[in-house]
Amino acid sequence: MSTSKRALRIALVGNPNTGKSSVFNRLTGLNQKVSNYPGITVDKRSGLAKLADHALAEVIDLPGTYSLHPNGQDERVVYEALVNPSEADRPDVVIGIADGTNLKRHLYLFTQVLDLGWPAVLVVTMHDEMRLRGQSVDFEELGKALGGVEVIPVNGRTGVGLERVKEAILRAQQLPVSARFFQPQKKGAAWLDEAVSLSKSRTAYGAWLWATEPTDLGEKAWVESKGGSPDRLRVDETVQRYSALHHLLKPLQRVDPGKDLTRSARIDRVLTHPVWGGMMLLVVLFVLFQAVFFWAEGPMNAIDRYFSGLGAWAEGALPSGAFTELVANGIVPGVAGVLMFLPQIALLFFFIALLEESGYMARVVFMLDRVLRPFGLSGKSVVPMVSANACAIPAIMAARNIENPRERLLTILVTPFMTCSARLPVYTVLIALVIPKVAFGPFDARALVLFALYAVGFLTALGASALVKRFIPTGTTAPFLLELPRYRLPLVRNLWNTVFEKSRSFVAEAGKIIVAISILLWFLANYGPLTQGEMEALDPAQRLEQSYIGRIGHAIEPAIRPLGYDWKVGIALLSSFAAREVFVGTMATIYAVGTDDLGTVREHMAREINPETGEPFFNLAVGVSLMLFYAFAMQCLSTFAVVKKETGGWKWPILQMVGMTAFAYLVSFLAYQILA
Amino acid sequence: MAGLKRLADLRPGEGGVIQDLCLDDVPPKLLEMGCLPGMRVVINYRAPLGDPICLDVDGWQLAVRRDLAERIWVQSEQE
Repeated sequence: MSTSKRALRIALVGNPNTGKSSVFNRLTGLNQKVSNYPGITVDKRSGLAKLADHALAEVIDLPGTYSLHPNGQDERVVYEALVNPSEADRPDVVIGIADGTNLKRHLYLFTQVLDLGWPAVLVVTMHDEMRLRGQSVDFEELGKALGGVEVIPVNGRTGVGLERVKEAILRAQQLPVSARFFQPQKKGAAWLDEAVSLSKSRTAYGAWLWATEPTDLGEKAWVESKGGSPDRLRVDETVQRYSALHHLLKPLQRVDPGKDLTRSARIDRVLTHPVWGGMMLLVVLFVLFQAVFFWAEGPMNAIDRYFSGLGAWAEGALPSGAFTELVANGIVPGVAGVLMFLPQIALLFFFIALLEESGYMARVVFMLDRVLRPFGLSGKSVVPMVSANACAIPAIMAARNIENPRERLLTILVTPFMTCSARLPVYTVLIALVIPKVAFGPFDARALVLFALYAVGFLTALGASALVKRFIPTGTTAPFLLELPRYRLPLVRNLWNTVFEKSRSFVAEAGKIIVAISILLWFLANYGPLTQGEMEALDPAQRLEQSYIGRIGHAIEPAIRPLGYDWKVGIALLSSFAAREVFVGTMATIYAVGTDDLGTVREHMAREINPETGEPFFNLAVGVSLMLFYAFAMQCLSTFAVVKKETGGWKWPILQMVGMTAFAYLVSFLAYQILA
Repeated sequence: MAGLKRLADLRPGEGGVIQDLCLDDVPPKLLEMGCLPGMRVVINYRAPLGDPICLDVDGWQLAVRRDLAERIWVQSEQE
């Protein structure tokens, strides 16, 4: 047993699509937390596992990778954790996860881990699939061939084999692994000793990885100064290691040649077929949108009602004063604004997790890659663009999966054009206000306008990407290499973990910002340059006009007048920076003040008269101009903050905000001038 | 006649053994994923617009873009 004071630390290492998260979820149950690796935005999943009585271990689920040579930010985490760990993150034991149907490719990574000298256990998953394919391996002999590592078959679905893994972890530290599968001395004789001392590596292979790692863009690898080529050396290693594995596995593996290995490929011939595959994709997207918009409606309304009730209750129950006002009209609506989106986001992520776990998402990426490429995007931009129909924030974070830096940046930049759910309440109110209820054949004019707004968002995203890509240098071309995993029945446990984790991180990340801005807006709307006494003497409508935000609204009025807006709309535009749907609440506040009846926002807005014309203020021109402004302007500070974090600087979020808002201004200006 | 062909020019169902790869053209990650010289690959199917291409490599499926498949030479096994 380990006598160290801290708990044993275990790192899970494996290729993507190996059932690694199933093993992680099995080991840790719900004792998980997700944090960020310092300085970068890659999620760090860790949890606690009970190995035996009085033996707890911290388990870290490292991102999936095919090799310790990193090809991107996620994979860099694995490199740092195993090649260059700080004392605080150094694992004690590594669990390698390998898919039994592809042992050679999976052992490629695992033997890299062994060459670094880590005490390790090898978990082999998918042996039910191996049986189907008529493949068998002598696990005990495999363990011996790997230098005494314990090799344990585990079923990620049932958990069979997991107890043996826990026991093996406790033993692994006492079993020093000495087998080496790649000899860096042969290829790097001239410089290896120097690399060992410079990199302070404990093993020759650690020094080799350090020397051949092409450190971040622009900076040359150390080995180049010694006359070596990092890529060439990397390939030398690959060839030598695969050849060693070939000889190692050959006597241990048996394949029944009569079995059919191509079930997934046969399904794919239908699911990626130009006609059937395309139709299937449309059906899947239709069901997804149907769910996100209609199934989420009930819970969203319930949350809305609950918080309106809570606000009213707080106003009545707490002693009246500024604090109560802040709680009832600042904090409660702010929290409600965050939680309102939770049903949609949870549903959307449930569907995305379902598509990913089943293996279908990789086919969507595969089918749409060529379609999106002319716009500078990748097939892998699909996941962010679909997610953005709920909220741009998780969508932008999902762009991390795109290896090519240029395609990733473009995806981040244009994703906010997609119609997020915060725009929906704005559209709903404005459409009801200015679009007459007429039908064209079977189509309702209002539904058509709403559909057109969604289409415009999507097409603008594509167009903007095609335009912006001209200004972004190609840079390093990361290859598009996509594994199409076998189709699998998704595990409820994995789906639940993903939905829970994404929802939690949305509430934590976006929630902080939305609540803070709601409080700020409440303050700006209730205080002004006048003294408290002077303010209280005014009626509510005048008070709003005299508040800070009213003054700001007046100040920007000249700028927005060409779009057809007055200072009241200006206030709504500004407050929408908290979240766009705040528009509706702000409109309700502005137009409700001074009237006693409890009509809807729409009724109040419909009654507003333009003092110059004597006609209703919200006519078709103003309504369309406003809807287009909401479609294109980047009015979301939370998105701004996420883009800054994900792109690592101020440059892109500022350019994005200026560009999108200028474009929105131009389009709304044209729309108003033409229609008015 | 078997002969040297570009992977991109094979039809679905056809396969061949990868020949020496020119490193300037091919990312090391492709090799690390098991597409090494000497490995037999088969074209499984193509995406609706003919690109990307799904390969069978040692029993699993890998999709690559056409421009990469044009830079991989295989010894075709077609009769």
